[in-house]
Amino acid sequence: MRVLALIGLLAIGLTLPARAAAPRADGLARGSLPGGGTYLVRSQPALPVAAVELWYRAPSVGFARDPVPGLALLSAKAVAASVPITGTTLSDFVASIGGKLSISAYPDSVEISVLVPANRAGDVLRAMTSVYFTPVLSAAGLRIARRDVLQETVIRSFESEEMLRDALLAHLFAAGPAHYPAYGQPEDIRKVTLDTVTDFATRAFRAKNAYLIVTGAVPPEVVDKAVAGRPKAANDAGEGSLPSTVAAPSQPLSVDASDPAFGYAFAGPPITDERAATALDFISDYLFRPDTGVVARRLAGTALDLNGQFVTYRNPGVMLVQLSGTGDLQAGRTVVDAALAQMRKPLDKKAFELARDAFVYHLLSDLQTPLELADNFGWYSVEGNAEYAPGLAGGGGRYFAAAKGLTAEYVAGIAAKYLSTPGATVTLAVHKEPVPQATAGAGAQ
Amino acid sequence: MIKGRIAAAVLLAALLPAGSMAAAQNSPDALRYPPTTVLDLGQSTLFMQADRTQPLAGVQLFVPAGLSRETNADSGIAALTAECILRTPVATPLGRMALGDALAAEGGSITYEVESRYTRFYVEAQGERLPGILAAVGSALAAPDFDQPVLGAARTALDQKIDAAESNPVTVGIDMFKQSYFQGGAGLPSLGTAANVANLTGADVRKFFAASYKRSSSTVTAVGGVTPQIAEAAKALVAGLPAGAVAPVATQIKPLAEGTNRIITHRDIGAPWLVLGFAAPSPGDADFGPMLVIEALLSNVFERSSATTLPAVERSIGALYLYDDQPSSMVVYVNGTEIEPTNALRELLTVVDSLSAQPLHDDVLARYRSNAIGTFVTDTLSLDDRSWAIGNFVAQGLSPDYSNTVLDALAATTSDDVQRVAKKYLAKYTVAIVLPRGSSDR
Repeated sequence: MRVLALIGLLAIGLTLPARAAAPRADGLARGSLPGGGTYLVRSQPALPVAAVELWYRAPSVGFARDPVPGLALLSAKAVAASVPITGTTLSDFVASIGGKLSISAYPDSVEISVLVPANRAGDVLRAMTSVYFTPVLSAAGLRIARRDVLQETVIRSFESEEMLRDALLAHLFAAGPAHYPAYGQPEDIRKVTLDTVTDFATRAFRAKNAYLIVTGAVPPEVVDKAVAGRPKAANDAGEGSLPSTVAAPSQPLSVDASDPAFGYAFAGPPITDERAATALDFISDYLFRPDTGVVARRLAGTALDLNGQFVTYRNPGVMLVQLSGTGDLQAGRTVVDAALAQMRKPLDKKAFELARDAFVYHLLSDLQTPLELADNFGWYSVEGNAEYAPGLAGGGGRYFAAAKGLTAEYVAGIAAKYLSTPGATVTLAVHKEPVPQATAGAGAQ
Repeated sequence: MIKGRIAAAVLLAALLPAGSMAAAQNSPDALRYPPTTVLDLGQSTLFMQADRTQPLAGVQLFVPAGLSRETNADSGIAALTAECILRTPVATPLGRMALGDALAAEGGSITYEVESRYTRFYVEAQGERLPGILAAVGSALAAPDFDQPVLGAARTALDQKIDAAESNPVTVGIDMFKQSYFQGGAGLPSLGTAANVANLTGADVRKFFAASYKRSSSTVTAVGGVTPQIAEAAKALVAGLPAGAVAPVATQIKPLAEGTNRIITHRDIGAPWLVLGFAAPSPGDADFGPMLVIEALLSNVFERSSATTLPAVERSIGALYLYDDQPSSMVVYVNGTEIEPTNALRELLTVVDSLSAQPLHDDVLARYRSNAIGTFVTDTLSLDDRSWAIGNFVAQGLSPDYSNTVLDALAATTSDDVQRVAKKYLAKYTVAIVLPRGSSDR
């Protein structure tokens, strides 16, 4: 019944005319979609490929009072695997044209990303907007999605880095989507019903709530292929995410796990505090970037894996520092602590300038493909500050202006403000079975 | 369940219509790479693809110091030489420091890869900084340091990379197959073995460098925000290499034998993996396009329905066309963590037989031809990969714009082509079996 209703709405949506794309401006075109939402197209003619992405701001745990960890990811995958009115699932369609489809969920957002040969970008864009602006869900699609998500949760359960990240965020945030793992736990995923998924998808996935990002060898007019989607329903409760509440700093937490790990989470500035957020990006690059970071180099050859990253969430951002592996975690923690303490004092001027130049290069190097750029534009759009997205204006724009304007003193001040007291400290400890104690006379044969 | 999945895949490969609504609409002629500009550097050549939208530029230097110049006794020497070059001290505003560190400090990077015919160094930075960075690379190439402590640090770094490669069952399986397939150095593991590397001396490395790093046998490619200053710096970079040329090494193969050829090894892995190695046409061969279609088919026909494109780790069977080697080869791996290997092998061979026995249905051909085009264009995205692709084709005596020829060849591939190429190349193979330590060979 619900499916039939949605098919009807899809038919309505498909009949609405698409709005003409905005004129080209330095390879970047932006505007509004016919059914609401926004689009951004960055034309890059050098490669015959295109990335087409849809981003939605929606809580990973759903809109209901009782959170359902993993619901957003499961729902997005179920839509891709369900047969829509066109008769071919999005996943089959993308596969048939040699594209690559991926779906990711974050605490407050969902990303559907397709990389395709450029001459199929328009077809993919139409298929994606048809499917996600008027989601049709089937039991078969949910079955496939559930199996995929369960498999991913199993793989993640063997990765101490992922477990630690979930534990850090759960400890840092007292409530809200960020408190829960975006992938959910197998027991959560298994009990989600088709009705629950459909309710979530209907509310979260629609044109008005969408950010459409297209990069690659495509003209801006490619967005004319977007369908309008269904009109807003009378009882539409709206979209958006839910606030995540930062917990009061608490005692370090120890969690039983199969592999050891240790980490900190620090609450950082909101994405709107661009200079502070950029300073924390700089610090994560300077200390933790693989191969070149100060801490990464000190820990090279120690059998410890380091992952340090500032995540630019809407509010607050989060700096995560994670150590895992078979090496000496306590020694690794000492190195991290010393490096963080060093960051609270201004770096030598020349060393700082070189590090800032290297930071700018690293960012540009991480944004050289259409897919990397689209991921980046989508993230900053959905987190509420698209203008701040690195790469929006090549090596210029607001982000790189902030990066190039950093000073050693300002960075030290930001480190002192945000990186002095972790909001969460978590150790994954390997639980050892108690060794049976020998009793008097045992073994005396 | 798995059996049923494979059976369904076999049916598909046995040429039932796939019902793809999209494949027939494909128009690959619309896909084009931009033309490459060729610049004579005197004793070498620069191939450029400039991209004004890209704030970075990448330069790749191909020197004829590949595996084919190694022997069993000095396996790993090409990689050790490159590691030493990355650690050779160069002058910087902060004083002398290792080349790799110097480039990182100045906002750039350098990496290397050893292939059968060449070692390639990839250098990347913002366009305006790249000339200075290339000058630093040139100074290291002009006077590389192969003495202690550089040699020791290089050996340590290389040992870590060898360890990492040894824990990847697909890499191990490919190395096993190559060793059985190629004669001479081309069949050796690209990084060597820890035991061999431990015995290599500074004098060995110095001798290898002198014999194989030759200016007139080198090639440079540049992509991204390439400027005239970068082109000029590329010229100076090559000028840092020792003058002269080396004769190319023709790689010979050991023809695959009839019957089942198995090679078995054990590693610290959780489940068995199989790697089947086949001969394959090299780029430039008329059969190259059809073989890419076969690669796409074997990579995808066995996959279960999924909501998204499965990452490699979740694929039960996948194919890799190793066309950076000449002669080329193709491997098909079976992931024992996802599928029962013996049944998978049986079903895989059934599909291979059916490819040779009859032509693909038009719908199936269209699907996998589209898939091959998609894989070809979406697998080469970074500046590193793009500069490699140009140089790799040039190193095989082809046009720097050969990628466009490949797109044309894929568009023109017919069912008869696929059947003919399958018959020609898939009848003989070697199976490399990578087992968890402690498990039986049976």
